[in-house]
Amino acid sequence: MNVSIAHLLFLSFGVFCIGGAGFLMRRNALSLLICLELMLSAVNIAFVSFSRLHQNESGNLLYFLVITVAACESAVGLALILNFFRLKKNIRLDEATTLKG
Amino acid sequence: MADLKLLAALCVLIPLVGSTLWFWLGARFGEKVVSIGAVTFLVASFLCMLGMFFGVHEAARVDFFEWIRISSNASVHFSFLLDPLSLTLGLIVTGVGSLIHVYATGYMKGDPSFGRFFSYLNLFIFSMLMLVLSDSLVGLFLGWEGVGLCSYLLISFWFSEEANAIAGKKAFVVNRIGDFGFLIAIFALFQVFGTVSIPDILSAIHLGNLTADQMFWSKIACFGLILGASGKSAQIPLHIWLPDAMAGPTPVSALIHAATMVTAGVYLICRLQPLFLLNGGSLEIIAYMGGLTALFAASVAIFQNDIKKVLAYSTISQLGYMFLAVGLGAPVAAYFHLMTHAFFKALLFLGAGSVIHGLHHEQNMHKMGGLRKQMPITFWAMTVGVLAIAGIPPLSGFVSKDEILHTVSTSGRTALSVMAFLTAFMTAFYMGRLWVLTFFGKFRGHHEADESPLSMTFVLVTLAILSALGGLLNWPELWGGHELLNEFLSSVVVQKKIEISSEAFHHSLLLAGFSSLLGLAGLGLAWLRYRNFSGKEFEAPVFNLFKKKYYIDELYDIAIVRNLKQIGWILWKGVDGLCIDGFLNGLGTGTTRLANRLRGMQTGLAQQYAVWVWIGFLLLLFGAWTVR
Amino acid sequence: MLNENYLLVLFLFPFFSTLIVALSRHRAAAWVSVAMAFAFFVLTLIGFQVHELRYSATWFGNLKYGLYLDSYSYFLILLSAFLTLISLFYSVRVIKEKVAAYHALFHALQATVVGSLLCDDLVFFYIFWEAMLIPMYFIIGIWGGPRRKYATLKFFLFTFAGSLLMLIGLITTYVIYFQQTGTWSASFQTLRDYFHMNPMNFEIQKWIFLSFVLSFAIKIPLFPFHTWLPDAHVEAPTAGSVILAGVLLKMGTYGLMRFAIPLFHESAEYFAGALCFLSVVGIILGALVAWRQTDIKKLIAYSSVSHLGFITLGIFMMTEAGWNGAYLQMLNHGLSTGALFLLVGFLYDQTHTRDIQAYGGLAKSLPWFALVTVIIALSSIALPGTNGFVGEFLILLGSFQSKVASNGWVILAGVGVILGAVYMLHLVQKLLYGKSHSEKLKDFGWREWVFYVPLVILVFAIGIFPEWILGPVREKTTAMFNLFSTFAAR
Repeated sequence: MNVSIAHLLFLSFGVFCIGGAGFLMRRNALSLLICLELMLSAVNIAFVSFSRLHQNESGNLLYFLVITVAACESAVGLALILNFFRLKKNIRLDEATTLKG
Repeated sequence: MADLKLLAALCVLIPLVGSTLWFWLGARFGEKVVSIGAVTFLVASFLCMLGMFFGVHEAARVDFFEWIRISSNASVHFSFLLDPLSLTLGLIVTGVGSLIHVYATGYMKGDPSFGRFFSYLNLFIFSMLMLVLSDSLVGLFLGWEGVGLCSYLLISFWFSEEANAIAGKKAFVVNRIGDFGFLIAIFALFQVFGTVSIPDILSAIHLGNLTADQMFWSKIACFGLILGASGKSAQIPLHIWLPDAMAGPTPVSALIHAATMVTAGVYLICRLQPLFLLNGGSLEIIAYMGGLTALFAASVAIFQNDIKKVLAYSTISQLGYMFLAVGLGAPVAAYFHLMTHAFFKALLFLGAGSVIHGLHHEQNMHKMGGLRKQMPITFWAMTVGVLAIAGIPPLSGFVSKDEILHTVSTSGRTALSVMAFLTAFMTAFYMGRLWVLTFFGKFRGHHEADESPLSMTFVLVTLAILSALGGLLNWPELWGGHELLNEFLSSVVVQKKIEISSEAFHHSLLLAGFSSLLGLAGLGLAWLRYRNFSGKEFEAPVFNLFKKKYYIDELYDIAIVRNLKQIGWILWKGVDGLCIDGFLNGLGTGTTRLANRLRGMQTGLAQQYAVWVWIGFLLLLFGAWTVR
Repeated sequence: MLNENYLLVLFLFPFFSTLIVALSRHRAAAWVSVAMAFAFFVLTLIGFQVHELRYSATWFGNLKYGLYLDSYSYFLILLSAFLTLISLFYSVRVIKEKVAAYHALFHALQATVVGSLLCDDLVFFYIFWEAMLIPMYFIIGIWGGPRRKYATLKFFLFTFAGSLLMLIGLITTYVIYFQQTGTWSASFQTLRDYFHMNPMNFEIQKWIFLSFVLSFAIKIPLFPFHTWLPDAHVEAPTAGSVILAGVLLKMGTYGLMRFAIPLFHESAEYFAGALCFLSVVGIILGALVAWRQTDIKKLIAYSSVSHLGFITLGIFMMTEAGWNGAYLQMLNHGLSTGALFLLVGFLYDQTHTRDIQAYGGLAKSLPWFALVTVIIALSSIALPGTNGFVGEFLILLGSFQSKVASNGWVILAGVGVILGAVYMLHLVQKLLYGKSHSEKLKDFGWREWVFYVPLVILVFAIGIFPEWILGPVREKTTAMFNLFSTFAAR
């Protein structure tokens, strides 16, 4: 089967939507982090697909950049969650409302 | 010329120096030094004035220095115009002023603010001389407001009484209304003539050739000046301050509120007579204003019980005569009456002061009576004054008033004639009433009266002589006299001369007979009515109108003062408080409230924020889509 | 002869004294500050003979800055130096807390005032104009009365809002200049000369003019932007009131005479009627409201509104005599209102009340206080012979000849002359006359005489010999009006 750019973009879009929906709906901070990673992965898929389409390396390069940033981000995020758990004894995000106006 | 300049400067500056001196060191010097000093200073000023009087032929201008430069070709100078008009009044001011100073040294003896009193009195003389001698309208205005200030300070001299302070304030504010007219007149005249110097304005008027626009502004100027004059000379509708001004010490009433300051309005109109001749209608207004005021004030004077109030209304009434004369084109007659009035009214006030002094500050005539035995000198002096003002020949009041009555009766204005004659009769009546109530009948008061000290009686006698003989200054030619004043003033003001003919002679004789008859009738009626006074006045509802001074004070209070106060309150609370601050504070609270609403969006839920981000992103996309 | 370095010294001296005072020890601070203020006053006096001085230097790149002194700015600097000296001297005895900070703030205020008066550069003017707010904000906010928070907020927001609009106007002016010439310049002289030769589009000019006027009108304050003034005055400490009324308000009228009208005098003539209307409303409203006040300071504040109305009337009527009178009246108002606030302060320090009803019969117990009060009140109601008369007379006389607006306004303003007597004599009567019920008060001592004697002398010196001020001012005004008329002729 010939995998066209359209297929790949649909895949990317699908993964991104799943990630986004999860990000908005889940209450568990860990799931949120995972959803974030999903969205980033979706963007990565798009990058790589375009890289293949245009036959140049910049898309692949950006993939590495994103992955690195994502790793940093999840490290920071996990640290935050850990501290949050120490404070509240759970990781439910709807209890993190101390910045309410 | 240099001598004249020195004399003029000395004449004005001596009282000013005196004023600061007595205020500053009055307490340290003690009464004796202040008395002698103040009187000496004034006499010196009087002598300077005499020197100028005899040193000036026709007219002279003395220029001191530039005061305010208005533009490159117009400026206001401190400079004097010495001519018959100003010098005559200057002599009266310093002469009568000196006499009253002498009197005041006796009257004010023992007052804790002795020095302050003479300081104000000297300051008044300074301002009055500025008013009289100044050659520019602005300099005249300086004196004009200056005398108003002194009047204010002296009326509220005994300031511990709130009422005195209020009377002083009233005098100043009412005068300020007149001054407002004066200021507008200055502006309008500057608009027309481009100068504020009186001789320059007058010579420009003589040249003529005014455009319609310039005529309009000169008319405005006339109205402004009339307003100013009526304020200072207590004519309707601005007369209300003068009766209240009697709150001041009696020498003040004599000097300021009878002899000198209140005549400034007459002086002003005489000074600018050509301007008024240019606008005939304004002279008509002056005449009717004068006639009406004369009659009105006389009718009120009959029903006053305070001896000084009677004299105050009498002053208003006599000033009305002067305005009447000026308005009918007889400024010399007005000026003559101004002079004789200065003598006999000062005499009457000082006599009344002597009585008040003798009775320990009792001013109610109902509590006097039979004083002719205790105070013989005062009695005889007052008698001369009463006869003079009542118009009994050949005293000064008769001569000057007769001249005015002559002018009125030949002017062909019946209404004014009736007013003038009626006033003459009423004047005689209320003066007779005052005289009888004070000096005849039984004594109805509490304190025993003593004759006043020599310093006071001396002045009374001098003034009595002046009041008796003052008429000689302008004894009509018709009766074989020599019209000295008329001749003297003829270079400055215009007055139609009475032709000498047997017809005119008969007419004048008839008139004199009639007016002296009116005077005698008034006095006689008062004698009959009040000889055996039992404390009962005329009682009738109509008379309440006169007693209450036609309710004009109340009317002004309701119509103007209260409304203005109300407006002030509305402007403060309504415009400033409610509208402006309300709007701005509303802006502030509105912003706060809006912010309070919007802070609800800040839930703290990170995911909710994400939803907002999404919505925003979608909106942006949508926007980009539609714009494309 | 003075050279342009004098300007630099004049400009920098107040900054220097601010620093010295701020760093001096607590006990000495007050006297050090008075000495510095005196030094500055003397320094200002030295420049009396100067008619015009200009200093310009390069800042960086081709950005230049310049200082400019002429009679318009000179007399206001003199006034500011004089009033600052007086009010600091007065404060020595009164202010006991945070002395160094208090005095330093006054010197800082002086620095900003002098800066904005001296600069020939609209950007610098704007900076100093804004900076003026800061010391005043703290002076009222720290040493003020019980409602000082509200007052400072109101004061700050009002003036700040106005300034922002002026900033927009300024930037627009620059941009237009840049668009037309291709170069940037902030120098007022350059801009004025340029726009006189190449007038702006009238529609735009109108709006820029209004933005300037609004900013100045708030500071002056012109009706209906005046409501911050009574609040600020009531809460400010005495010396603050003196400087606020005496100096800061004048910056608004100075701005009109120096910047707004010379740059856009066509618009000024176009709006003359409306602005004169506002001035006259201010005159009458100020007077009537002042009459109803029971708080003495509020009464004086509203009287300021009335007086400043006269000044703006003289300015907006666009006549030479009117401008000379307006300028003189700015100085007169500074002196007489400053003195009135000091007199109130003198009473307040002893009785701690500003309620007019609490006083009465003071003429008996405080005769010298009464004398000075009456003289200053007379100057305020413009009695001939005092300084107030010369200013008011020239304003009204000049405005009466105006060609840009009806002289009916002058007649209405004349009514304000009557009302002025009403409220001022009301104050005098309530304070000085009547039954005495404040026996224990002390009369003036030498500390009071030190500044009341010069004040009273000035009242009469300007009233009788006004030419020493009017002469130089008139020269400047004539030059300015010649410029207007050549433009109109072209």
